[in-house]
Amino acid sequence: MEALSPCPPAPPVTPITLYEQDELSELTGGALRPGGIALTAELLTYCNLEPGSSVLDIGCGPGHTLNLMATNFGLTPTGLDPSASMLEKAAQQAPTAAILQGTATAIPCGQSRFDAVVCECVLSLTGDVAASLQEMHRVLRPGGVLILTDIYCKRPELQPDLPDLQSCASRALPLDVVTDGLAQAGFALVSLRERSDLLKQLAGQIIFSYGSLEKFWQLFMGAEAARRTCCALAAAPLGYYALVAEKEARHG
Amino acid sequence: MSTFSFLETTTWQCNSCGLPLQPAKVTATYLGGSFNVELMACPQCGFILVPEDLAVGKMLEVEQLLEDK
Repeated sequence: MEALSPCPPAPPVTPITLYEQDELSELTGGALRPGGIALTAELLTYCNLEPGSSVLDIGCGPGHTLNLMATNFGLTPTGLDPSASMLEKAAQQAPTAAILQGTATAIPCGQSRFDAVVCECVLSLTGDVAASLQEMHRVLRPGGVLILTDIYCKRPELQPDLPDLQSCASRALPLDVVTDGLAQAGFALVSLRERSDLLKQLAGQIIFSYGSLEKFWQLFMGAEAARRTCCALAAAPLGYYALVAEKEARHG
Repeated sequence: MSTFSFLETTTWQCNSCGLPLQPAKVTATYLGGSFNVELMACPQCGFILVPEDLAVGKMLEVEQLLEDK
């Protein structure tokens, strides 16, 4: 039997912000995350928000969720993103939405401002999960809901060691870090769904669209870094979750 | 933009309709997943040619991906 060769060390590469790449946009129908806009619609339907409810989309990207909320659910959305180029796209995609530049760890809004907060495939990228969840809690009204989706790491000891890539896949957290953080911030978990099927669906679509996962990564980095990225992701068991939590009234 | 394609010039034609195959966007359902892919298909009845590279190459890669680790 041929011996397995270890992953080579990471070569220095220029940091890449994966969610700003057009190729990922094409694969996900513009939504830039596993499950696309269909999962967002599923979760918004589950939450059954009143028309006119104010909803903050943290890490709104090009604004597909903002447009969905305004057009299909009659909600009043606000988008928050650190990227000026993404906010420009969001303003075009959802012209009725309010647009703010900022980060999840310092949301530029007053407390109890929103009926709901949406944060899709962003939490692990914020750099400080506890601070981000506290901020989400602060801007929600008592009884308001948080819709949260993200990649998670099924086995923390096998966290993927990726090249310098700005992606939720490279900073995936163990699920209990997220649920513990929610409880500490003052959220009650309402629903937790295991949706790793959507992550596999996206990876499979990458293979059908680009020939292989390695060829996809080669769009953004050198051949060696792409090979190493594939190697690291193949060894790391990653999953995808979708949850709904509620801001407990006593913390209002 | 993806530069990869399963489309290829082929001498195969649809046996039922007698027409040469043309590129078509199709949805492949496989192991519970649903994937968009461009393949050669009959323009009349929609019969699709699955090339060998896709059947024994990419399908295997997707199969390995979809299996639980």
